[in-house]
Amino acid sequence: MTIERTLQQRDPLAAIVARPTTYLVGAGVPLYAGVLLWLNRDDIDSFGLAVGSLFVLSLTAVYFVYSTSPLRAPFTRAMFAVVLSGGIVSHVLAAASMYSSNSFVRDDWGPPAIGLLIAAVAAYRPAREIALAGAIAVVVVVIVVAAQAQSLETTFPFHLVALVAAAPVAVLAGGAAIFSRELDAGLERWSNMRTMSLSALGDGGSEWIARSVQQDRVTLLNQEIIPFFESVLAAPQLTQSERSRASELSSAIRAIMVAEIDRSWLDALLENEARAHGDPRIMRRVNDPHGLADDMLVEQRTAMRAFVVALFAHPACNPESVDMVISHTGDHNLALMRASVAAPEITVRGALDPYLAVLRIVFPDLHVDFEQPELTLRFSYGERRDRS
Amino acid sequence: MSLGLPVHLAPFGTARAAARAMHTMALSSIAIALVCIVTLQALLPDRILWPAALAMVPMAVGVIIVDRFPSTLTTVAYLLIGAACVYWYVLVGTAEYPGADRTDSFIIAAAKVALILVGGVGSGVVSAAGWAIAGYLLAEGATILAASQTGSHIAFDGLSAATVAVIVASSVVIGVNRFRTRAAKPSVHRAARDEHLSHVRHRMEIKAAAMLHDTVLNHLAALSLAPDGSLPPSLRSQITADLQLLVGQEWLVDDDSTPDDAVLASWQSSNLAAVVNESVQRGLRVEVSGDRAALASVSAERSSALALAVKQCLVNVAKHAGVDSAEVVVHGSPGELSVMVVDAGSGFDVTKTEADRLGLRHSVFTRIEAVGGSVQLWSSPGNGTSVLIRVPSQSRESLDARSATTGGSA
Repeated sequence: MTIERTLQQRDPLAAIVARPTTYLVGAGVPLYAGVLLWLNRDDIDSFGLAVGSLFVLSLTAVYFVYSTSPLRAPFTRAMFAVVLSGGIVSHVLAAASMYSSNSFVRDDWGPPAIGLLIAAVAAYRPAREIALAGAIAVVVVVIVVAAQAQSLETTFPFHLVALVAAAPVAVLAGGAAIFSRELDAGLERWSNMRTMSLSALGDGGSEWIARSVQQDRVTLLNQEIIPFFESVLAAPQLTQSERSRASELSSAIRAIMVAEIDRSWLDALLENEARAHGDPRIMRRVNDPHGLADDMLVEQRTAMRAFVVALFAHPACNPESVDMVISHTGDHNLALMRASVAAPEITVRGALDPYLAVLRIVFPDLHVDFEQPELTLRFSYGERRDRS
Repeated sequence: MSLGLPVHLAPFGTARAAARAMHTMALSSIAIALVCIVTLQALLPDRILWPAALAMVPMAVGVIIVDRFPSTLTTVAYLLIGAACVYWYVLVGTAEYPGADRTDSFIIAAAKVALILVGGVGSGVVSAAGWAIAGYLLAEGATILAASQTGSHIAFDGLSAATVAVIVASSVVIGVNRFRTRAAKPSVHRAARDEHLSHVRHRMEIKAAAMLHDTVLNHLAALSLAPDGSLPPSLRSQITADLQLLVGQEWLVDDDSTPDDAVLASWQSSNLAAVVNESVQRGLRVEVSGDRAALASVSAERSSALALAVKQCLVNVAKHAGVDSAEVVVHGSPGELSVMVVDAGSGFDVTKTEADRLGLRHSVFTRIEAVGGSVQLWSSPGNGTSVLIRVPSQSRESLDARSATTGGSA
């Protein structure tokens, strides 16, 4: 699982906060282009090309909004390339529609539209890619200006005209790249601080955890084992009954230890949450005979923990209904989680979407179905780790 | 995956990044305005346009100061000085350059946009939108004032208006949408903490399981096989000692601060030597060879885990191999200590035998993996058994610590 240095992948929840700007750009850019197209309609040589440019831009905007959804994360380099290409193609078509009649570059909608699309990608792609996209777009804009040079009503030198035309793209792309880089740097600083504090928590906290675990074991031993050993030590002779008792106790404690070893972190998590929310039954809620839950990476376990806690905390969730099946196929593990949540989808999604967005980052093929009241999650992860 | 900034820091982080971006865009706009003026001056040498370029210098300096020293004072100072610069810029530009006869021309808009992109201090919606609106009003006011003096046509500037509209709209939607993750963020951070603690606890439970296997289960197994009569003295003393350890001492808490120089200073006082001696007392002949001094290169926790793993290997030799001798070879290499336990006994088919599920698995494999090491096992029927145990040594820990502080993220 490779996490890129983007806000969406390093802080999925912050990307959710920024999502409405995607809608703004998705709706605003085609609207802006349409208005300018209308205002400059006297410059249009080919209405077909003009309409075509607006159509391509609108499609690009719709695709952008669709592909940046938290539940389709991550927004990949390929998706960005599609958006950039759509913006560039729409600009080229618009310029072609005014090929011999474009008087001023300043009122062309293409470069600002491309610049706004690139700027809106700031939360989804790394700074270098954004800067590169801006550079590519600037080159295209300059080439288009060069192609239109004959029709432009200006006595300015070419470099000034090109500067005016390319300025919106360059400025917006540059700003977006800086924004992405600064966010990443801030996340990196915080991540390093958090790693150090977690280490301190673990190191300093490991003593009390060790004492807690030791106390649990000693309590278990005090029930029968230690009294048995003391009686054996005190007795003058070892007899058959004591040998039998030793064998029984060995089997019993071995069974307890095996059961504890087989109980995964996921078993413990679901059991604890179910108990905390009114289902005290001690039962296997995770069907994972091969211990595949342990194959999840730390990030995946964290996301899973946060989601499970949120799921059980939902007032409409039936704690008795939550279960999970993990199986192995090919070279990865498949997980299926089910829960009954008796509430309308909009309220369930509203409560769980942030956690699903985080899950989606660490399980890229996460698939979520909700047919009231059944909530189903399907995802795959990891390679089977050899436990021989 | 980073979990992102916590709820109380996220707005500041985002605001700081946005401010930096706006300052970059402002400097770009100023640079564009400068290039335009310089180019026009070169094209029109009889016009006196260069004073307009001078107005851009204080603006550029002001942006840099606001970026480096963000505060209300520097932001207000930049707005006021910037407004004065825009006034001067528009005054000279509209007076000297015939093409700038409207206040919505690109050359003028570039300077105004630099003022709108003030990126002022503050993290909320009100501050972000407020500074942008203030910049817009001051820029337009200065432009109108200058244009009215030179008789230029005062026109609505769509570029400046669009710039402030985008900033205000973005700030509002982001500010309003923050509530969606207000509860989720702390939950995700709590989950990370709980996962970390769970991992630490799991390590402790592995150690506890291994310890109970090595003591309680072994003693119960020995008792179940002991003949009638008095308890063998060695078994009696071991049970007594282990009971005192389990009940009376903190056997899970390690002093993990060193390589434990005091204990490992010599072979005879090492954990591994104690384990070998114990096996010898049980009747197994153990030949130790190799670089015993390398034992000093591992931490106390790893030394302890290594010794206990070797102990289990030697117990397996005594129980299953059908021979009464084994060899322990110690080898130190840069960053790693390896110990191999070899016997020429009956061996077993590793693919078919679930060889002492708790014994090998927890007393050897899981115990060593828990301290960052690895175990390899070779055996086949009739050909003996070899177990290679590797653990990182102190020189590799130093390298790992250095690389963790210079890069990567959680």
